[in-house]
Amino acid sequence: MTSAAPTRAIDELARRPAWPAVVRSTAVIVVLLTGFALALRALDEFPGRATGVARGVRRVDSMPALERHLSRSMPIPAYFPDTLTWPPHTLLLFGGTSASMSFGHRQTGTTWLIVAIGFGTASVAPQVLPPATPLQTESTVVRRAAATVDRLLDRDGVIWYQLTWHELGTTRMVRYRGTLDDAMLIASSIDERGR
Amino acid sequence: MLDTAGLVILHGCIAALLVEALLRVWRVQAPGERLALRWLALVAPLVVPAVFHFLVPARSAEAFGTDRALFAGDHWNQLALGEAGAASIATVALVAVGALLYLRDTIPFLDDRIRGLGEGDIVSGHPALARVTTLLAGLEQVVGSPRMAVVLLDRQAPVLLCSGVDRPTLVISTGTLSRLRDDELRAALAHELAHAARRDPLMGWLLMVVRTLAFFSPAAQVVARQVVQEVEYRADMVVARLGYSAALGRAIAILSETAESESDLVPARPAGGFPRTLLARAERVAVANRCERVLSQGELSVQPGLATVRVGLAAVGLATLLFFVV
Repeated sequence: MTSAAPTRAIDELARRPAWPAVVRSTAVIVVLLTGFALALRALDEFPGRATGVARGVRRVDSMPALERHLSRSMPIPAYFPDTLTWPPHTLLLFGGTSASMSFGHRQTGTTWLIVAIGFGTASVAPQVLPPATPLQTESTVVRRAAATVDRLLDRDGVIWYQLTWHELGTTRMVRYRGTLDDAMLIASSIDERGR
Repeated sequence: MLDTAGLVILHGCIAALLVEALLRVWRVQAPGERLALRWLALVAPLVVPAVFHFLVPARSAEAFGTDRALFAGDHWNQLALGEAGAASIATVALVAVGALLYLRDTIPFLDDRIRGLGEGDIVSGHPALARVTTLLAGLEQVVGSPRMAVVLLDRQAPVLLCSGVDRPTLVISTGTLSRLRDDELRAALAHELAHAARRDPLMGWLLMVVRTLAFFSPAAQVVARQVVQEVEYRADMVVARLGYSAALGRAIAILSETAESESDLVPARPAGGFPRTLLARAERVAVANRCERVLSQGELSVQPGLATVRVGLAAVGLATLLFFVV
């Protein structure tokens, strides 16, 4: 009886892992997991870079495809200047919550109008919009809703007008490269109920 | 359906790579720990997505993929070939590869089960049977295995297997007995008894169930083969502890010489379709590796307790990583 207890204690000690080995093993797995996480993140960046859109943004081919992904209609402007081409040349979708349509100029082909919408969010995700620097912000009214109008400067040094307002639980945005009057007319005519 | 299959395949690849890296960096030698880590790589990709789906429903939303995920397979659908995205195309291709790998191993397995052991070849009262039973009687207690029934086949091709989930049975052929000397046969029988002691035939059936569930995942099929190798390694380890390493190495080499060998001692032969020279080379390499492992087992050092901690660390780490892969 007296000799069994120390033997048991020694056996138990032998079964316990040595702490330096445990610490070393933990450090190794943390380093490996970090490496895996970085590699996965880098792989995840690749499709976006290859297609020239932000991470997580999906480029779709057509309006029906965009609406199928969103499971709802996209609002489109009833007033559409003759200088622009239809259909939109770029349709982007982000996380099922934001989408944008870009329209080109009939002569130059460059993007002239962007119509974007955010569903259930306070703003349209910046991932579906080209980067631009705000120069000035004012308040206005679009379709009887409080709205903001921004003057933006894009990377090519071009001035854009951007109107943003909330309607039917969505955030709507019109970014236009022409005059502010045209931008207001386009924004005021945006509706999906007539489609 | 395709998305779920793609996720299981993706998780399977990550789990297999992480476990392989851990085995190498940690230099895991203990057969039990190696086996536990391989099982983790096999089962986690099947279980983890289902568990997270119920515990964290928000993870299934598209916003998780864009905001929090490290990797979202769906992002690869941005790269489109015609109507189909790259992720969908890759998933279909990998499902085809997984199914081929599954069928490659399953068809011969099922064929064996349907044909049985070749009941017509079973002999009783053969003088060679006494040689086997005498050796087994001496080994059963040492290995700690239950008493094994012996089925002797009158075949020139070497056969040496442990089968039977409820009642362990040793299947051996006269061809095996004529090829192996007593010390080699003792080592080979100890190996089969080790399988019986650990109920490895039952594990073989469990493995087949998991493989069937993940038939579409190439990673699962490859890892399942690695699990089989680890089971063999564990049985080899028992033989090595008894001091029969060299004899077992010789037995493996002898049984591998015959193309018709049916034994878990002989490394699995790659299926047809590969050029013959490659096939032969793969077999030679596999046999050499197996013999080398058997002979080097004497230097094995196992730190008690550490294995449990490391398997736990790997499980938590893998689950954490897979949480952020959608």
